[in-house]
Amino acid sequence: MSLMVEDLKVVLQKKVILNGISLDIREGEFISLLGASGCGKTTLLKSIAGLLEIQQGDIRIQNASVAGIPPEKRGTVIVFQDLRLFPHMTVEQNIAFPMELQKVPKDVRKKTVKKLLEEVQLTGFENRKIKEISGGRCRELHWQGLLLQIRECCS
Amino acid sequence: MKNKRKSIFISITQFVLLAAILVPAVTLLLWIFTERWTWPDLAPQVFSKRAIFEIAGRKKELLQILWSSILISTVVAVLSAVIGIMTARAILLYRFPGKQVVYFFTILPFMVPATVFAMGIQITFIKMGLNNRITGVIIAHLICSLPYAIRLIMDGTAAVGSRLEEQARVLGASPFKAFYKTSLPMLMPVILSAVSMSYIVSFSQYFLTLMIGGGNVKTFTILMVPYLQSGNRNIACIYSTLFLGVTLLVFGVFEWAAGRFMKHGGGEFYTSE
Ligand SMILES: Nc1ncnc2c1ncn2[C@@H]1O[C@H](COP(=O)(O)OP(=O)(O)O)[C@@H](O)[C@H]1O
Ligand SMILES: [Mg+2]
Repeated sequence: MSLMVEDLKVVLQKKVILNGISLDIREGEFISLLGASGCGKTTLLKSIAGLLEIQQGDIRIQNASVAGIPPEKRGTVIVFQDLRLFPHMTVEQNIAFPMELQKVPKDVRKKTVKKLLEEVQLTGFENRKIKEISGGRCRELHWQGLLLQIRECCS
Repeated sequence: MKNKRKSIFISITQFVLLAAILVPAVTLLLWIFTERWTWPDLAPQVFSKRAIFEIAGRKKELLQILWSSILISTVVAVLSAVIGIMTARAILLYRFPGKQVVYFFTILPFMVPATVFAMGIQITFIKMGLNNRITGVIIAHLICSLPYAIRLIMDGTAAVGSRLEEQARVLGASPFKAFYKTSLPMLMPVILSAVSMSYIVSFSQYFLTLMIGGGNVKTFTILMVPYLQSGNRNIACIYSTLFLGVTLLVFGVFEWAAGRFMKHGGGEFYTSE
């Protein structure tokens, strides 16, 4: 996967949040973006994922522009800092959510969830509700669900 | 000591509230069978089943009107919720010109007196050919119920926000699927309130139904109100009891339907941080 951002401009509620942002990430690279709180990291990620409209510039994934492609078809995933697990679902349903969307058969989903939970030593937590799990463990769960999505996209 | 006093206060409040509901309800039931009940006796002197027989004789007509009333009000309630959800989302989650005006329009029906509104809308509906028709009655009821529905659902939508939908989108859900799978179950409790509120606004509407329905559209309230006004207590009490019972029943069905949607407890607007 490669990602290119060219001269990006994002305006939210008449305020220019991002302006002239360019960035080039090549296959296999692992990039950290650092910056003070409120400098626009989340805004950049949301723009790349297609959750925000961009005012100007271009975003290219695998060298193809993603302009006009909705978030669900971009294959980009965000782990939000405010932990957006689905509180009305169980642990299992949370992790299996992307698989459910891709119409993965139920038994395969169950098996995969079991394996992923084993990896973070959370076996037996399948039917717990999210609010019964501690914060640190929530983050682990979150990663599992998202990792799965990334795996699906790369395969 | 303080705790005990507090619990006494709570039980007294509970008792008063319960009595405020039960005493009228029991009186209502008693009056169905009461032939004579004069002051200062605490209990009726003469009972009879006259009113029950009278109503039973018109059972078929009554059931039909009751059924069509429930249908009209349920359609109004469901439409209110659907339009309410769409309006709340438009106002809270999207940006478009004239948003403030739309927001103001949502509370406008609160400000206009019902009778004034009924006169105005009747003339409009006659011009549009909607008078004396069920469609017209449903639209008129909708105008009355929508402010409640929109306001209730707006509060819920503001609390739920678009956080979970964004997460669902990046995990591969279409816009509708994201809403249906995340925000909708979370919103279910407020949607249930909006549906119930809209139902009761529609079900108890008298003047407006009379004006727009023009006697063609008969609802249970249209049937009931003349008896309440004429002072025929027995019949009026039977109608009132039916009104209460049917409303409770319908609310029960709404609650059941909503419960199926939020098996793992919706309405927890904020996730654990
Ligand atoms: N929906 C929004 N509307 C208006 N301003 C926003 C919105 N979201 C974020 N901002 C503003 O954009 C700036 C960058 O926010 P954000 O990308 O969340 O920063 P970071 O993630 O780097 O802490 C902040 O000043 C914030 O107030
Ligand atoms: Mg941020």
